[in-house]
Amino acid sequence: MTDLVLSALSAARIQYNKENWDPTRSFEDNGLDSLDFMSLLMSVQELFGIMISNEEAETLATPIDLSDFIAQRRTN
Amino acid sequence: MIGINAVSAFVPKTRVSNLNLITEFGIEKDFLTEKIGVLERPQICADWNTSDLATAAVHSLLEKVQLQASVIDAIAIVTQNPDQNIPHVAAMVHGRCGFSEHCAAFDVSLGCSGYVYGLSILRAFMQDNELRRGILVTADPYSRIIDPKDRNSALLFGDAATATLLSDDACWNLGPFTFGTRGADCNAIRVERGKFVMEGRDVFAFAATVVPPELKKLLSIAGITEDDVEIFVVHQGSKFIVKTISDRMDTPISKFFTDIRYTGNTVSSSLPLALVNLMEQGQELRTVALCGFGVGLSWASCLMVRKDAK
Repeated sequence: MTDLVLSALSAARIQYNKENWDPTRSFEDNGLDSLDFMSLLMSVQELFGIMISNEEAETLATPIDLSDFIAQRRTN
Repeated sequence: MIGINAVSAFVPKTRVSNLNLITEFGIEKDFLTEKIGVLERPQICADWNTSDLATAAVHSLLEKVQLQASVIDAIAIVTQNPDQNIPHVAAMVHGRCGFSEHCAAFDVSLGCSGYVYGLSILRAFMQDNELRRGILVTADPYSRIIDPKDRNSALLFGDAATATLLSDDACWNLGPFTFGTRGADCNAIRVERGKFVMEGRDVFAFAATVVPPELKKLLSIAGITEDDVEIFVVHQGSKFIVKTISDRMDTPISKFFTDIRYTGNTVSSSLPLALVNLMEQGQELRTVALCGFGVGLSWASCLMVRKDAK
């Protein structure tokens, strides 16, 4: 499921910790800082045509969270 | 044809080190150096105001080009932090620098897009009124409005002022220009109860999505390609935004000016400060693309082409 997140990371050319990628851990643990996360959210919005409010963004702590969010929005 | 003759800058000697603030803001040194890109921020001293900063830049320019203030026909000052609402800063600087009573003086209220807007406004004003020499000043000391505890802005902004001589015997032609405004999102950068507020995500998305196509549009209007441009000078908001713009244009970062290590984001002074830096390096430049973006949300871009360029 986190393929969606990985494709958004790739589209935004964001460097992350590929060797120890663990979608259940925080974005920070996976090598993303706050600006990378901001860039990732923009990439998700552009790739999947969904909007993410600042309030929603605060609930997206891990790649799994973001992946679930994308999947849910795409089915709605 | 009126164009750019010379550019000069005044950067305050007092500096605040961001490296000393890493612990307080809970950030890594790599994040500071590689993403924000600002190591030190110049700050005006407590008893200085915008007009002092602007005056220093004008003196620096007049000394550089060896001109008397009395030969200047117009002065325009880009600022959104005037000393006070009335009088305008340009009149204050006019009085202090000894400009002639025939010299026009006015302010332009714009932020990071202000330099490019100002070039077009002053150039058109001079051409329309057959004036020979005009000075465009940028001076917006954000240290007066930044909350030093604000994570979104405290490590970014530095104080500086610049002065650009526009004249009919210039070495750089200007144009074409492009301009734009997204007023629906104007509150993404604002002052609230005297303090600066920036909605980081909104401003980042604005810059990342607007600037790359705008620069491509500029080149298309001019009938040139990226290969014809030696360097893109975009607003130095942060190292990260410049890199993002270069990525999204699919243009190597080496074609973008990036250096805010010792100046920070100086608002409307960021583009002319970069020009001073490039000119002092003695690079053989023929075509430079400028793009400023920020408060408004607004943007403006233009080309600078050396008069002897083929």
